[in-house]
Amino acid sequence: MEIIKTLDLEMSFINGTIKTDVLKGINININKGDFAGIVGPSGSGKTTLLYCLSSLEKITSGSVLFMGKDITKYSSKELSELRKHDLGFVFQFYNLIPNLTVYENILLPQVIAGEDGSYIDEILEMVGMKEYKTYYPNQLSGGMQQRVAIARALVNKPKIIFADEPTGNLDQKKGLEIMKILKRLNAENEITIVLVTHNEDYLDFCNKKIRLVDGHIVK
Amino acid sequence: MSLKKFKYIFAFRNISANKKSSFVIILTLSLVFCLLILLLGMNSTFKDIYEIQAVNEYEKTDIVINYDEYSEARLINKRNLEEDYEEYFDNVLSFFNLNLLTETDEEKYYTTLYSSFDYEFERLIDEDVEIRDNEVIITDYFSTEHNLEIGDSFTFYIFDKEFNYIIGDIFEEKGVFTNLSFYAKKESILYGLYETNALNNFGNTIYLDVSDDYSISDVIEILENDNEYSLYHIFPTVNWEYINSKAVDLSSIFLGIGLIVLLAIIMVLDSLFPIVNRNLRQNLGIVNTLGGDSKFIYHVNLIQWFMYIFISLVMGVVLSLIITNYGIYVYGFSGFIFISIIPILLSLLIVMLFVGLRSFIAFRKENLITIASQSKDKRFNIYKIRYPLIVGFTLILVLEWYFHFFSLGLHSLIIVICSVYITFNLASLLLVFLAKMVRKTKKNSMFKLFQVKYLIKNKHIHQSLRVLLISLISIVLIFSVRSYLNEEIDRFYDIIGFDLAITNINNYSDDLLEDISVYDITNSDEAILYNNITIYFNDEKYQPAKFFVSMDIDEYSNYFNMGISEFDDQYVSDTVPYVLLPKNFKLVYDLSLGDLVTLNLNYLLEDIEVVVAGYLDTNLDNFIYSNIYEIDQYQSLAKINTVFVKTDDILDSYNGLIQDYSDRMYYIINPDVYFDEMIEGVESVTNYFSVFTAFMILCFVIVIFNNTLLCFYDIKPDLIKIKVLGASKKDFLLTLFKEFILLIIIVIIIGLIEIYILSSQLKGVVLLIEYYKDISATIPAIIYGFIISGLVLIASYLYYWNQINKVQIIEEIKFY
Ligand SMILES: Nc1ncnc2c1ncn2[C@@H]1O[C@H](COP(=O)(O)OP(=O)(O)OP(=O)(O)O)[C@@H](O)[C@H]1O
Ligand SMILES: [Mg+2]
Repeated sequence: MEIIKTLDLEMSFINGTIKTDVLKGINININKGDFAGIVGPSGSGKTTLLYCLSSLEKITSGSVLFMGKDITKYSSKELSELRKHDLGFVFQFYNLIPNLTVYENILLPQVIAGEDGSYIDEILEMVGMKEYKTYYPNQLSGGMQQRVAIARALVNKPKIIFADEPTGNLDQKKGLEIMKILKRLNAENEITIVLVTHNEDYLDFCNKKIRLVDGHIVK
Repeated sequence: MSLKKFKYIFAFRNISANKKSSFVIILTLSLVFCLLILLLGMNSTFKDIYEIQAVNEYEKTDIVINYDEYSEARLINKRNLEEDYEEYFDNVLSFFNLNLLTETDEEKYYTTLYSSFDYEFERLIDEDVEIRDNEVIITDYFSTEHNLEIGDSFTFYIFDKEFNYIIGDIFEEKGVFTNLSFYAKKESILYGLYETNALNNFGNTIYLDVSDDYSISDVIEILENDNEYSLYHIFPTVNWEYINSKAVDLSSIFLGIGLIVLLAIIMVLDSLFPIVNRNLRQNLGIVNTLGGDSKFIYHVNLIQWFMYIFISLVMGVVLSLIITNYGIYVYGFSGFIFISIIPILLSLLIVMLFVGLRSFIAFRKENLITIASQSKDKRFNIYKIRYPLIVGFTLILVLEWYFHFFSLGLHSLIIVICSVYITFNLASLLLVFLAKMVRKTKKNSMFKLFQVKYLIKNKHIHQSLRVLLISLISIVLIFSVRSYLNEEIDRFYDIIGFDLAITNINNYSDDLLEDISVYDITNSDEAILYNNITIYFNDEKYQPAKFFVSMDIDEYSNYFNMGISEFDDQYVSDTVPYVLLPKNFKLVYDLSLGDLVTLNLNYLLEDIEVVVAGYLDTNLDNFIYSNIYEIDQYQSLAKINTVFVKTDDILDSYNGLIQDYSDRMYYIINPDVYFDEMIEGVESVTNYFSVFTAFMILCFVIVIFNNTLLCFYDIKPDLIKIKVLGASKKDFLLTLFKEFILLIIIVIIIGLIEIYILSSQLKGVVLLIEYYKDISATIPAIIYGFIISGLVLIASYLYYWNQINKVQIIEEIKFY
């Protein structure tokens, strides 16, 4: 079953009078349970594509369908609902809130979704960060922060997780650990994963490969 | 956990995680509250100060009854008061007080005698009295001034009788017993004068302590309606009319610069936002990606502000209480002033409104950015020049400047607001221009390649520049007002042109002028002088004055150094007296020639209608001239009571006149000695002002430092890269030095322009609160302003440099 599908997705940035076409007619299909990998040279538009798929960026033309519904037509309230319950995000820079503890950072999406947060310990256990509950982000290593970010993305039990180079700042070994966590989530919890990466090796984890060059998909 | 509870935790974490910033914010906010409370509560604070001053002087006494030169009767019987009005008074003290001539060590001078039964004096000043019949008690001030000790002989003269006493005790100055005062037993004085004890219940000054069951003003009314006392001068020790008008006067000076200070305070507040909102964009981005409402962070932000505000308000109130009461303590008064709730609430309202609005705008702006940019855009805030607004303000300024659409007060206000906006933007434009010039130079430097970009685009640098300018301007204005207040005393003495005045004359005849001519006198003229009069402009507006003089108009200028302007003799008539008023009244009370005003000169001359016929060239409220002495209708009541004297040898004439006329109870005034008392009030205000100034400056110091720090935070990521590339401490110092020089040049140019404009408009702005003084920026004030802001800027740049040197490269490259 298709979870995400795009139709002639185009996206350009307009800065003053300068227009940069970044995505030039993208048509992709991602099915439920897929582990999709997006690769391509730097500046080819991978991050932009991920943002467009996940409704964080407004597209210029075309459409993005989530479970068959065109989310580009959603109101901001509907989008919020969608992000609250169905989407999870992991970024290259871990994007934790520096003034909140590990526990509170993970509690945040729960509170936003109006849930009680009873599930947090289990999640922390899963990413191996249970002992660091009361730590602040700046007291953690990069890999640890990324695991917290994954925990945060997971806590609302999303249908799909978007991850933008989640291993970008980590060494080989730590990177692999993160990939294994993602793989396990994909396999055991049937969470769809869309991963942007530079590392061709990680494509081995993926069942679907999308290669971007200069805003086009190449086979 | 509920969303609400989480918001509170979030807000609390934001405060506790950045202890240093929170400290700075709370400190700044406390100062802001303190300044606002002081500024808004100034009027009532001054009233309290004057009330305490009056209460301290008279302690338990509520009403004083005495006679003055207008009344025939000179002695009051205490027994009658005690019997007829028993239930009204807790205490009736009957004193025989005189200003008289004293001689010690062959030196003659005026002193004030207090005489009563010992128990009465004990009650009046709350001290134990133990002296013999021929002994006096003098004040400690008296003893140091004239080098007197216990046991020294002490001679004084009442009417032409000589009293030879000995100093029996020395008391600290207290209540009315101050300056050159002494106490002697009334029995012995009266016996010395009249050789009888029958007069012991009489006195010329009665101090009354009204019982708590009656209101003071009611009792005064009752006494005034009693024929027996209608001839006396009955007055409350706490004179509210006088206190109110003085408080308005003084607070007006503050409120006049208050507008600028308020603007400065708003800028101070504004500078806190970048600190509080440092993580705003990132937090918004995260919450948005998690599907949260952007109101979430807005609420957290507001809660955080409320926590800051609550703590700071408490500290601000405590601080302002300390400042106000410290002033009182320094003056040696006992009493405690509470700050009324209104200025506190008003300050809170101002701060909350500003914070609410400012946060709202910040959020609106952030919400326009896509979530993707919120999460990844980490560039600094870009400064944008708003040309349409600059052009608009310039247009308004130019039009108003040339065409004067509004009345003077509003005119000045508009010019001040426009000119502040324009000059602030001019400063920014100048900075951009100079930075671009630097960019065009051939030689490459770190400054040119790197710093220049910040100077052109970084919002915090431009904000810094504004803060610097407003600090400079405020400091200059505050110092100018301070020196204006100080010079008020000089201006007063400049006007007084007579060398001596014989006052309190109760039976004037022309012979007096001839009689006194033996004392080297070059000029002397008769006059009517009233020292406490009130002018009513209408039912609500009135103004007390200290120097109401009526005499030959041609002679007036011999004794008062002021020109007369706009005099129009069509208003001179035989039936209606005219007045000449200080020229500032014209603007403050919107007067024109021919207007009728009402005077209360004393209790015999009340509600006298007079016409305004011209103005005196002074802005001091105290001087008023009238020709009332010429008007038949008033001649029986407005009697000559004063002779103004000019002499070649002041001391000689003074001693001669004292010798000859003190026995008639005339009082010889030497302006140099006499008016010092009148001016005392000014000093307490300047002191209060000094504290205010110090706090204002402290506030600016923090803000200037803050802004420099913000610039540093913005530039830090780039600095680190440069540091990694091997830039040395010296390189950074040089770069910062160049930036500093650039800023200073701009501040000097733009600052001088703005000071010039404000200086010319300030008096107009003050007019909006019914006050007019010719206040303009003084050279020393400008110098102080530049020195203080310059020093603070240097200090803040050194701090900046130190921060750069301390940067831990590793720490900063880490992301989280
Ligand atoms: N806010 C923006 N304004 C204008 N152009 C932008 C903006 N953000 C990205 N771009 C442009 O879009 C293009 C794609 O950027 P994107 O970040 O998607 O690349 P990427 O494939 O993720 O690269 P990398 O592998 O280096 O992360 C780039 O050419 C970039 O210059
Ligand atoms: Mg990218």
